[in-house]
Amino acid sequence: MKCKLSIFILLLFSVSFAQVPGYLGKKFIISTGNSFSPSLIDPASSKTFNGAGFFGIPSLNSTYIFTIDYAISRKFNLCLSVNYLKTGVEYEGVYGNVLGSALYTGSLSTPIQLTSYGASIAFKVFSRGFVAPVGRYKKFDCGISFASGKYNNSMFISSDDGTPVGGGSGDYKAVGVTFGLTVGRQRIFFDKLTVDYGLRFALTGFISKDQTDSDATTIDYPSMIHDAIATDCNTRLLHHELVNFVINIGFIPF
Amino acid sequence: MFLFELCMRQLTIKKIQLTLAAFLCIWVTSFSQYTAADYTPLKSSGLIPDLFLQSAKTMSEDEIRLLQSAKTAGQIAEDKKVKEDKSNFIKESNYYLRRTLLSGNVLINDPLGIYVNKVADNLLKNNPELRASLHIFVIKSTEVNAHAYDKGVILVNVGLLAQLENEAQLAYILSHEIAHVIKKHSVSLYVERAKFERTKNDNDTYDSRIEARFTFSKENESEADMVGLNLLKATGYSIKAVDGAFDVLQYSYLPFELVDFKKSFFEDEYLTLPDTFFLKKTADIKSNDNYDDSKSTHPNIRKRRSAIAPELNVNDEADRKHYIVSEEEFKNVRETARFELCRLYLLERSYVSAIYASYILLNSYPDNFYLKKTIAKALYNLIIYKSPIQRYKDQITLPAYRDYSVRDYKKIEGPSQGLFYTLGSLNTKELNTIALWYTYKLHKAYPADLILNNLTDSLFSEMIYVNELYLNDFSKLSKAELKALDTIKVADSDPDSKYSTIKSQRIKSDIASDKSFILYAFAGLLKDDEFTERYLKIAHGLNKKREPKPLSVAEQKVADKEARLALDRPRNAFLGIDKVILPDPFYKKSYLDGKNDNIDYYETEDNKNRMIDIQKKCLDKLQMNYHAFSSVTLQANDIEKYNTYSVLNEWMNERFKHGSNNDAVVTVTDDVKKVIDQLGCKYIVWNGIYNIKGARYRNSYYFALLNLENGTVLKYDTDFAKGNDYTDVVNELVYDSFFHVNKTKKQK
Repeated sequence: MKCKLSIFILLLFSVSFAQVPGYLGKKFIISTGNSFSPSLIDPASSKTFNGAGFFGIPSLNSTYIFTIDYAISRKFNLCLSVNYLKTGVEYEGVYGNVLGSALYTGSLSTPIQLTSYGASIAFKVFSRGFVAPVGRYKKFDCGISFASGKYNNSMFISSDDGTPVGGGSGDYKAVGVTFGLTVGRQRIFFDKLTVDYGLRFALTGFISKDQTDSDATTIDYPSMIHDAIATDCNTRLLHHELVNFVINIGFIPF
Repeated sequence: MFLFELCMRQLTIKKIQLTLAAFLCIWVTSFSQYTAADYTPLKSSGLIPDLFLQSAKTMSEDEIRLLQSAKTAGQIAEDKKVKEDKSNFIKESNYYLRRTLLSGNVLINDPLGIYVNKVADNLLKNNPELRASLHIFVIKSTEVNAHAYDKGVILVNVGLLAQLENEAQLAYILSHEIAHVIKKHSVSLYVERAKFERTKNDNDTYDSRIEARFTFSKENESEADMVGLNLLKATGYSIKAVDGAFDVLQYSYLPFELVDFKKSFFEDEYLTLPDTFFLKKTADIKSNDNYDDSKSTHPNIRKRRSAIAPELNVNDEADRKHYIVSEEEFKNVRETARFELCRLYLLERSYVSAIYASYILLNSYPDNFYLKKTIAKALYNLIIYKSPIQRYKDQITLPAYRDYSVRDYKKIEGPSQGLFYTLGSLNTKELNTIALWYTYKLHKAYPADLILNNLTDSLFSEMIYVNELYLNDFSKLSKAELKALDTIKVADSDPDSKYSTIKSQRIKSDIASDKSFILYAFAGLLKDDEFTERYLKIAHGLNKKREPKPLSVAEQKVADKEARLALDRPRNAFLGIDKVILPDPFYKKSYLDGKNDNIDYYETEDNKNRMIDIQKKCLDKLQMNYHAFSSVTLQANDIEKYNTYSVLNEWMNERFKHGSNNDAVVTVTDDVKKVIDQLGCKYIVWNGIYNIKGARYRNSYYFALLNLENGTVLKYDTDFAKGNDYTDVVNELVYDSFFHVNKTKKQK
């Protein structure tokens, strides 16, 4: 592992100090921006429930991104970014397995509040006829995210007898890995201002640490509800990452 | 005191007279570009006219504004389409005019142009207003032609001046061009064509469309013939000379004189060429003046002569003259044009024509170094093009401009056919031998000329590397000397051995055969120590450094593929060059409309100017030194800059014509050497962008860096992108190119 890490660092240094033209000699870009995904079947963090569900209310989910780009060769940019996502997950209303189910009696208009912090490393490969960091590119990224959510665990009742049942810890925590491809374009205006936009396609997989994978042969409401919510959160994050329009605005200092 | 003052005054007057005499003497000398011994290529002088300094866009905007104001004042009742066509014509015409004027080929205040303008002064002395609106220049082109722009710019080709017989012929040709200006033929032709394109229907065949289009052009030409003749009649020039002017046009494809090429030109006591390389009789000149002109812009010569013939009979022909300005000056101008023509033939790779033209002039100027050197350069490049092999695998090449070969002698008429036959029939070994023989002898006569010296070395290396002819392949004795020997002894052999007998027989058979003439070609030169030493030295060096054999066809294919793949190699190479010469970049902004590539002239010019700025910005960022020859910043007193640009432009045009043939010598090297010394820089950059909307790749960028000293391509990049030519994209491409030019491998 140490050996691999050393090779990676060496490689990174060698490319970092290679003869790279950059943009008029400038290779480093600092930018911030958003990636938007349309929330067609899922709620956004602040979206209100209209009585018929969240479906059909047009709104955007956004991830806030801070990125540093470095032109490591004539065709490649190395990007490091951190991101923050805040969105909502709809309560299902009924959580159950073959033996029984629980009902959520709380307000559906306030979705589960889900946040995610992530960091990623990416390579931008610039297309034919362009020199990094300007022009059309394909960006391949790989990132790690830490998601957390809070749900109301006191509003669940048994569907059989209407007695309140525990809804798990009320905290969702998960770690995920994301692989993405962005097809975009980076422009530089007035030799300083950078605008980077594109369409990002990504797949993500989250694992919730406290997910118990409850046994269907017994009724364990807290675990069952928590697991179902965790699965919903994971799916929500997957949906969010699938297709995004990304826009970053920044500057090229040196 | 008074006496003293008088003496002083007289002395002063004498001084002035002496100064004037000296000035006149210098002026006369400077006028004569050629002497018995040498020739100085034509150069521009004086102030650069305003016409050269205005941007095409500015000119067009002014003219279109005038056109529009004419409409509002109700002076011209034209439909909207015609107005639009005229506006488009103005844009197009000014764009191409500016490109031509700044091509470096147009001469300003040169001896030829001065004379042509004097003839025009005579022609229009009764019409000073018209005269003042005309701008007449000579352009460096071998074509026997002149060209007029509606704005009043008339360009007379050097090729035309070389062919004329007298001043009156020039006057008539100028009158014809002036008639085009007066009648605004270019714009009417443009409008007519545009109208035709709009009204054509699908049933029109291509031929019928072309014929219809050219009918109008022919009508214009006939009108110009007639109007021009009337202009000439108003002067004192001979009207009969008009017929001669048509002769000049009819036989324009022939050289300026018809002289038999003598076999002895490439012969001496030792080198004797077989008769088989020479035609016994050259083809007669069978020019047909009644050719099919249906797809021509001009009526055929017979029609033009017939139309004008009745008008040629004037009562006062006896009082009219062939020369009004000066016969001597005309002949001087024509001779200068002929000298210049030799150079221009080399530039356009018409090597046989260059040799023939130089040969004709050598009959009058047998000691002229320029003419002899022209022949040496032409012979060298002929060899290079006769054996187009890839000599150096790892060289960067430019894309081939077009193939070159000696024209088929069967298509040539007249005495020059003989030379085309001879040079076309000789194989590379024979041609190389003759070229080395000729060039080496020239080098011995002019040992101080470095270019000739280098050319000799290159010919030695061609002998060894390409033709595999080594020193011991040549006989030290001439045929005559060998024949004179009673018995031929083979050196270092036992006279009684059978091998000695075989070798003796072979030598005898070689002597008897004409084909083995190259064996004895150097019998004289081999007595010269320098010749043998240089031959051996280069043979030794080449064997060490180069591959011994040229590549086979299969190997060639592999090498070509490698060369193509290696095109990316120079992009990553760092050259460590800190000073470059920077002529104007090329820019073209257009959009495809079906098969038509429509240029946006304004955008093209604006973007070219933007690219000039970008280049400078990038070079400044990299702290590189440069000599920019920008048309944007050209001032009236920048004539030296204009001349330098002209030389560089000639060099680049020729170098790009050689394309992938890196071994062909760029023949204007003599003039470029002076530029290198003057600027202290030997690297030239030429880059540009084609931005064509609708093309597969909208943006095509290229960058070439060449060494002016030897024509080597140090960098040639092309970038094709499916994107627009945004400023940041162009910034990036240009910076990247210069970055690699400037930086060294380990430099941060």
